[in-house]
Amino acid sequence: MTKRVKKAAVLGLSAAMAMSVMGGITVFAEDDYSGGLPSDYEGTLTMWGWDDTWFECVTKAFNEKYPNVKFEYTPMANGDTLQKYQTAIAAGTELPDIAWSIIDSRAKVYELDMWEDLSAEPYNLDINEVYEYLHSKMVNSKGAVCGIEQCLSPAGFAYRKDLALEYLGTDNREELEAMFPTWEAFIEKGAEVYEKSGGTVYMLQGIADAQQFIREQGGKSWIEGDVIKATDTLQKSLELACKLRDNNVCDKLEAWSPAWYASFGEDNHIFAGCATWSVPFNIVPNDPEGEKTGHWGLMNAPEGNISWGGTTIGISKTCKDKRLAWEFVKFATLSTEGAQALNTIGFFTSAKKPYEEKPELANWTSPWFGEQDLGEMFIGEIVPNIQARPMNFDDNVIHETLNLVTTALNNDSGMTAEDAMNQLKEELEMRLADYTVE
Amino acid sequence: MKKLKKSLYIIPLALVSLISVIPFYFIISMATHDTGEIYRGEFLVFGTKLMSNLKTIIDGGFLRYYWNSLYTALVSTVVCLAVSLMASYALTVYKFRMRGLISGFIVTSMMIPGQISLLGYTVEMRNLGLINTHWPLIFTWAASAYSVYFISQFMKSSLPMELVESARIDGCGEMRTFINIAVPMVKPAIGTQFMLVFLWSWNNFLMPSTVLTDSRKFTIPLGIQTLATAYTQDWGARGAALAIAVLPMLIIFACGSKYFIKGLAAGAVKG
Repeated sequence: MTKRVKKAAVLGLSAAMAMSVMGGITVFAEDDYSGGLPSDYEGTLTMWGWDDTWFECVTKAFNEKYPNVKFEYTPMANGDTLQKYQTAIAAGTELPDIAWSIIDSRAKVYELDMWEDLSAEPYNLDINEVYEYLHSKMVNSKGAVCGIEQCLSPAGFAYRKDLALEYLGTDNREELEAMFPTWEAFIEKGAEVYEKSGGTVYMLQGIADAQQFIREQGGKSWIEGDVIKATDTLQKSLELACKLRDNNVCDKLEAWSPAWYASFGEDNHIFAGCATWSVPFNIVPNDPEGEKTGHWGLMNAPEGNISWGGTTIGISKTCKDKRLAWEFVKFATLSTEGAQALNTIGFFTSAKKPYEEKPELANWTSPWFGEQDLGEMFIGEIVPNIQARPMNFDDNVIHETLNLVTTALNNDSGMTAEDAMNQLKEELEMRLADYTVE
Repeated sequence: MKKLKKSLYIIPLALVSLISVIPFYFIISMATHDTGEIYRGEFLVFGTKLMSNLKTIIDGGFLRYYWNSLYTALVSTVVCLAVSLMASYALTVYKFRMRGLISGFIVTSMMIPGQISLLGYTVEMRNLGLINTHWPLIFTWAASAYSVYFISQFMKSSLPMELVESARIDGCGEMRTFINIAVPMVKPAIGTQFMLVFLWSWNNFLMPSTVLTDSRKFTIPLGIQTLATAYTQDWGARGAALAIAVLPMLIIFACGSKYFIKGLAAGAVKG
């Protein structure tokens, strides 16, 4: 190499180094997904979603770190997820870079050939970073991690303190939990409340509210291989439904109906299922009085708490900038910064680390619940004890059939649990002919 | 006796009218309440939240959705009518080989539900690079079998061939015969089709939800859907959006209803 060439090479390298320092350019390896991105990184991510509050909160925080990243958000009804993704795949049109998946259709959505496996190279997600009860809800049948929960959605029982004091003799959480260790005890007391109130006060708004918990408790899978374990996993649910009906423990309100929503502001129901999202979406808008009185409390449900709802975010195979997408997913679900942002809207990320690093992020109160620390209760008490039921491809069919049978059972006082089970099996054999129903 | 007879007609008619009007009243009333008030059943009388609901929908980009719906519906209707009128004229006036076969094909294609052809149409639009534009919403009306069938049937009964032949003898060109003779004869059919196509295009949800992913290009039905989230729905804002959304339809039907009532006789042969 001649002296002149060496000189030119040294000069060139020096100039490049000087420019990178002057321009504040951080050198990063595009293939290394474990580190961060340069703060001036530019890119655009598309998302189709249904939770504007979460989206605005998280993207705002992300933009504080990466101001040059743009988001294109398309609002979508969560019930349309499967159809929208299927249509896009079949027609060859664009999928979103960051794909959302709601729990209701997730088992089917995760089987679509559109997901990056986040536990594989180059993402290398360690699923143990996320709370244990969520693991089975983040993987598909091949074991690929298709998404990470946007936030925790543990659920216990909310209760009206004033009504509990009047009809149950106490508004103390521990005393109420001791009073209702089982559904049998809940039913027995419910019958007394109904009688004492002259038929105006119930324990719950509707039978579906009790069923939501009963079905999810215990964590038993409804399907094993090609066998639907109806008797093993659902018999108890139907038996309890009969007892709830016969003892007037639940009102007749249909879940998610206007009357059901309105009931949060009325004085006729002592308990209500309460996930993290129930406070801002169900209680706050429908019970204006509650803000002043703080007349709600949160407690453990009889026979255990559940995971209720939930949405995951994952990366689609057609994502144009997977490096950036992964940075966003990590930020939103695993990072302390993401947890900090979510804390401002009363949500909690699904990763454990933020709450170990900054325990105060797990604290959250609402005027509707007085001084009670809901965050501590959700994360400290409810989450560790959830036994989540594993997902199966046809769970939604079983869920719908079970709802039909439970409604029939609730409306027909002559129908026994055995009748209901027979009807359930018949329906399932018809709807899911490929399975054996036991 | 006459009065009794009259009341026998009027009472059921008034009842049916009332049943038809009540949903509109509830929509407008909902627009003046927030979701909590609606859930508590307080929407029988008007509330005070109209301005905040209007602000919600305007902040949510409703005016853009409104414009998107308005111009796609109008262009779709004009394109549909232009193509259907010309096709109907050709099928009615000209005698050519396979005319019956083409007419039969048009009638047969009406039997295929739009949902079935949606996927193929989406693939076609993708190949043309038109996904995420309004063209797929417009082009779908350019080949409306129902409109061609409706107008050609109307033309067969209301456009005498003698009139077309007279025009030709008097030296009138084909385009002029079509525009000045045939089109005026089928005004009632045009009016009816204008209203129907505009209404169908305005209310179309499935097609825009399949071909549009850019929210800036959303039409009203998609826009209204965005007022829902995972766990809650803003029914007050939805009421306001619906109330405004039905307005053009009410105006068009109010203006166009005369075509249904007295326009059917238009274009009769003068003796």
